[in-house]
Amino acid sequence: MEGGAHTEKVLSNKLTKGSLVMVNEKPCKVIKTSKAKPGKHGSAKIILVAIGILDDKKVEQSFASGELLDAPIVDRTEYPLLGLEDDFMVLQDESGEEKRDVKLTDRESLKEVREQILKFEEDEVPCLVMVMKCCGEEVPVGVREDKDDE
Amino acid sequence: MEADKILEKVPEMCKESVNKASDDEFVKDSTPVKGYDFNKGVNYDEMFKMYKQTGIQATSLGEGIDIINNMIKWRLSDEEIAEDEDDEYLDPEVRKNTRCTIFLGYTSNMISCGMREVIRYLCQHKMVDCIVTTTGGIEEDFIKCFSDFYIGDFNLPGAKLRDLGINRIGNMLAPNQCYIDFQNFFIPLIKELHEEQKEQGTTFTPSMLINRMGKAINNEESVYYWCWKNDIPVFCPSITDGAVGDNLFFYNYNHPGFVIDIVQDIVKINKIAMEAKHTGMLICGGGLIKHHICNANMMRDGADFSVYINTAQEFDCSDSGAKPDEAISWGKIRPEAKSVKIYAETSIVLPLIVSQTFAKYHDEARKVKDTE
Repeated sequence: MEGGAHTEKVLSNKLTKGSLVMVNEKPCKVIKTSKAKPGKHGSAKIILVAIGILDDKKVEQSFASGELLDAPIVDRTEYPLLGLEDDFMVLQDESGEEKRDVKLTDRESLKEVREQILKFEEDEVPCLVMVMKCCGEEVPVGVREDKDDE
Repeated sequence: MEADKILEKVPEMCKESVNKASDDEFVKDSTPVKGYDFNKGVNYDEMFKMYKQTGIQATSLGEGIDIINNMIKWRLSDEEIAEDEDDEYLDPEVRKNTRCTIFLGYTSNMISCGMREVIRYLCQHKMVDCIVTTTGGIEEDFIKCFSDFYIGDFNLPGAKLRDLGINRIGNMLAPNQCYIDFQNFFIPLIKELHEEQKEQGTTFTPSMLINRMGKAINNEESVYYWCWKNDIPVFCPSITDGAVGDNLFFYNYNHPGFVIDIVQDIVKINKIAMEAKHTGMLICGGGLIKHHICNANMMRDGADFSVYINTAQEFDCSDSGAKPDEAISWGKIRPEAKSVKIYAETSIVLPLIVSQTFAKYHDEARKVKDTE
């Protein structure tokens, strides 16, 4: 989708476990924060350990306390699954049109999601795929049976 | 009172000054001074129990023994669960098995003298988690595997010793042959590491170098052999300031380009402190080894237990002479921590301390994973 920023500003000392933040220009989720009070090393610092939400890579970085950081804006939308075409999913978007640009992910952490999507498709079970959109990339992060009758 | 009658002629002013009433409230809960009674026999355990109430430095030594025993006994399960506790430390079993990280620091003269055997005992049974020392404290442990040092005298004349090729360390002697033996052990190892650096791109830090030296010596008398075996990191940021550096200097003439990275070691030691759930420092001496350990603990807002043993004074504002309270002002020791400075020369007191702590509670103090 065009328009709208991919990131927003966030204060470094407001981050906690689970917060989203850009580290080395990659969107990440914080798994641990530690604070270093001002001392011989200089000003107060926040040390973050985070995991990339698109690549699962662990990163560590220190920031000045009170620094304005970029945090990724993450959208989650559910789309009905219409089918599969090679490694891409065919989804139905909000206007009823086909959306063919979301790839089935091969990330180890999302293995179960991928397998469940394949199973639903094979068993012809109607399902809804949860697609996470972040920094211009879209990734299927969940799937559930569509229990609503259409 | 009879004494008052006898002292009738003493001026009131004098009597009031000398006989000023003492405030019993202030000492209500204090311990009376009392020393050990040898009529009980030569019983060292009982003798040391009296140290805390003996006064002067014996009291500090008694406190130091208590603090170290607390370092040994502490478990994370002793503390309440912190609000922001990491998930992995919520499990009671994990908390019961999480122990205090003990930093041991000593100056190189401790390896020159017989404290080398005491320190080796601590490393052999993994009773400490992390070591900081200066270069002499590294090389002399290896040298002692090939040659002996000897008891000499402070007064042996320097010029005569130089003629004889014998180096003096206070009242100990280190013949030059020791350093020739060290060169013959060390240079081939450096060549090996240099090849590894060139072929695999490995950059060696001082702790990695010491680890490889410990592996290479393969001798149970060596402190660093046991540090290698038991995964105890040994930090020495001033690694070139000794025979190690002299050898690296000569090696450089023939094979330039060997690099030692001190940055990764500061990252490593600081992280050890930051990731520890509780820390204790046992610092024998002053200088770099004292500051380096305290600085690492500053990264976690201060150590929880601290015992200094040194002969330095604070009047010259040296860090060596600085008392624990100065370290509290920097965030190197926590305000609520248990700390003591024992004004004493380590070679006298360390064996006494170990006898009442690590050695006495051997089974609890050792952190070796049992494969015996």
